[in-house]
Amino acid sequence: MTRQIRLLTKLSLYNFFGLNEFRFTKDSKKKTRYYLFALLWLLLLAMMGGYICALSYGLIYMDMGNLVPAVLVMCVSLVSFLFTMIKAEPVLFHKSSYESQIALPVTIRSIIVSRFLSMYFTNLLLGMLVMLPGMAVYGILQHPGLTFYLYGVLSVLFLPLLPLTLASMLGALIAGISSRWRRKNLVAILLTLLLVSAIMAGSLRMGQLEEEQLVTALQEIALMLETRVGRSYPPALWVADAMVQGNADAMFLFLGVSIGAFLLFLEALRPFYGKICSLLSAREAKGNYRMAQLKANSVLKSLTERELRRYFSSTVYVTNTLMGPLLMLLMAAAILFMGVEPVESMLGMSGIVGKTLPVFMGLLPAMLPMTACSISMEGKQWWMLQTLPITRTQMIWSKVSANLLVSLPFYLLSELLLFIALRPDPIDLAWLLIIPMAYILFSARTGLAINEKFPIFDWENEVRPVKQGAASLLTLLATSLSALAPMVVLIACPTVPAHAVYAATACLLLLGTWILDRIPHKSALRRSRSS
Amino acid sequence: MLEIRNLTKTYKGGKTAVADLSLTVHSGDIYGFIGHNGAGKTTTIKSIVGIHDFDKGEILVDGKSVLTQPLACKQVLAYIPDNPDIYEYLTGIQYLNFIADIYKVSKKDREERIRRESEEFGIYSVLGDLVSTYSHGMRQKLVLIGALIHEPRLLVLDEPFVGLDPEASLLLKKKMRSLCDRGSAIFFSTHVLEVAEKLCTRIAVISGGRLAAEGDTRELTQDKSLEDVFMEVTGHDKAD
Repeated sequence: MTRQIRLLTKLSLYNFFGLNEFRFTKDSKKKTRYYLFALLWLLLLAMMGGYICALSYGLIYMDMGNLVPAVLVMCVSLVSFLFTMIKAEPVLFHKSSYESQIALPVTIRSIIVSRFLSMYFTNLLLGMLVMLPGMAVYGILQHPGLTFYLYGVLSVLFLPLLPLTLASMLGALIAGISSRWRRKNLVAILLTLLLVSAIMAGSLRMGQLEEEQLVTALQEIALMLETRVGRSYPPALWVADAMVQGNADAMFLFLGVSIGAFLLFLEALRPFYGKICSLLSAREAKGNYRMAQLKANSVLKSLTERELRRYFSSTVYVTNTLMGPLLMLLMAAAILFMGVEPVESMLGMSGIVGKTLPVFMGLLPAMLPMTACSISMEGKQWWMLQTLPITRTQMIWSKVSANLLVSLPFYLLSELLLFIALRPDPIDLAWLLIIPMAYILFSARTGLAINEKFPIFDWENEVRPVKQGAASLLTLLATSLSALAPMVVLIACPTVPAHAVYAATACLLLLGTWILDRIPHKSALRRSRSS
Repeated sequence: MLEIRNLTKTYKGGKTAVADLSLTVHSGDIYGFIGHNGAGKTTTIKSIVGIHDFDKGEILVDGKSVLTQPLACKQVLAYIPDNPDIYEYLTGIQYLNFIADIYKVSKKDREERIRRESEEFGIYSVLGDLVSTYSHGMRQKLVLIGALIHEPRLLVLDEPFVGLDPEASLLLKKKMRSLCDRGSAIFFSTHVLEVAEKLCTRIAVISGGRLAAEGDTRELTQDKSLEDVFMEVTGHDKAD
């Protein structure tokens, strides 16, 4: 069985970030793109490493060094959990690869373990990225004994196991529930979004409590943090105990619970796995069609409708890209029910949200627009758009329109809640309306331009274009930077009138959108330029 | 209707898939394009329909260049790939309605054509179901109906008979003949030499990216079978 697991895991890892293509492609342009992508990742990793070092140093500086491992473990676990929950269903129960693998002489256990391992490796990277810089800072400043490093390395290796198992359990539950419904994708999308929203709201509440306590003595904060972390995720404290105090029992407890939970999950899922996969891939065919009057639409409307159908057919596509608009709505609701200051305190961003509200609200739906992977999501069907008599402009605007249509209800509802909550004067209201809309439009067009430059069509699992594509990452960077600049000016230069900053931001965003629309592009639909 | 002049396509890595290929397909022709695996058939077809760029040469559809007037060319042609990878998240009727919208087919015409073609191909009753529930053959039939919906003047098909049941193959041949009788042209690649010999008015044999033989089917074969001619011009002895 180990051999089966090794082979199946190797197979799925070949597709990991397109590594196999990078290794074997003879296309020098593609290779250069991969190098650039790797450089970008390195930059991001360095930034994240720097942040972790600063966080660890800060804790040690405030005499809370003992909490460093617990806080790091908590970070890794929460992020692993959230990321895995979104992709557990498409990876664990991926139907087409299930059909091809189940026909091979391999056990269901091997298939489950191999898929689990492919997710484990991504989370292991994340764990290393967070834990190692933090451990290094702690090691230099606190001079711990050998057990700190020994248990540290052990915990890095096993850290992803428990959040992965818990997220996979929820993913399996969502898959199991949705597989029984006719509209499987819609049910899975709703359940995933609901759970992620609940978890995010829960983690924000935790942040608020910490923040409130910051006014009290440091000793109290340390105790508070410890209790809070221990109450929400006890394994974090077990690891911290093992690393800081050399408590071997705590380490064994952590390892036992992590491995035990995984084995239990494996055995519990095994009998139902095949059935869930079959039910998820089953499609109901009625075979009773009777032609009613058909509707004729314009080319753009027809393309947009198709785009929306494509969007809502994919759980992973929707859950990833709808998170931004959903956050915008949650934020507006939080401001309505709690007020701006408590929300700032909850986010650990005192004095930032209120001062930059239009930009902040615009950034949320703009972070990962659906257009950032909409060309890649065409996949093997890309030939259709290439051979149909449509212009590049029609293709672009159908995708941008679909993006706007999806964001619109969230935008309108958020604006309404903010209006009720803040009762802004007409000028502030105008900025509150204009800036987020400008961000939505700009991000939709920017995402598409980036995806046009960096498309991936040869994917097997939708997770790759949505979560692992260079286009998604670059779009996130571009839109974040576009919001960061005005936010910095608004906070750091109080003498500059906010209205001027908002006006400049809106103009620049719209100008950017306009320019992107006019740049001729050769990568996608190159033969379909207007004629 | 279709004119290919000195087409040359080299892939990145240096492999020349098609070299200096020239051929002409007239209105009313059923033009068979045959060759071994990797001979350059699909590359040629993808260059005609706008999926691939090419390095040298010219391709004209109805007198218009696919490089300078791609939309005008695409408006009059229809393409059917060897693998019917179509939108699985649409129902059959949504797919056909989408194609009809893109080609701007009137409501009356689309209703009449979809009903007629889907009944003839035997998939009328499943048009309300998702494409993901269709078998390979049913998808192939759906793509065929989609390709015929705007009555193309040039139909380009890549291995159209793969995956079709005998009845559907017969129907497709009938449709191809009837389309050509109405003045359209058909250009298709195939491995099935018997079909090509019986169906095509003209045939081109491609080998190693180069045109090995081309002409009127009867003149090309004369007293030999197409299989003999194919083996002869591609430099292979016929296996006994």
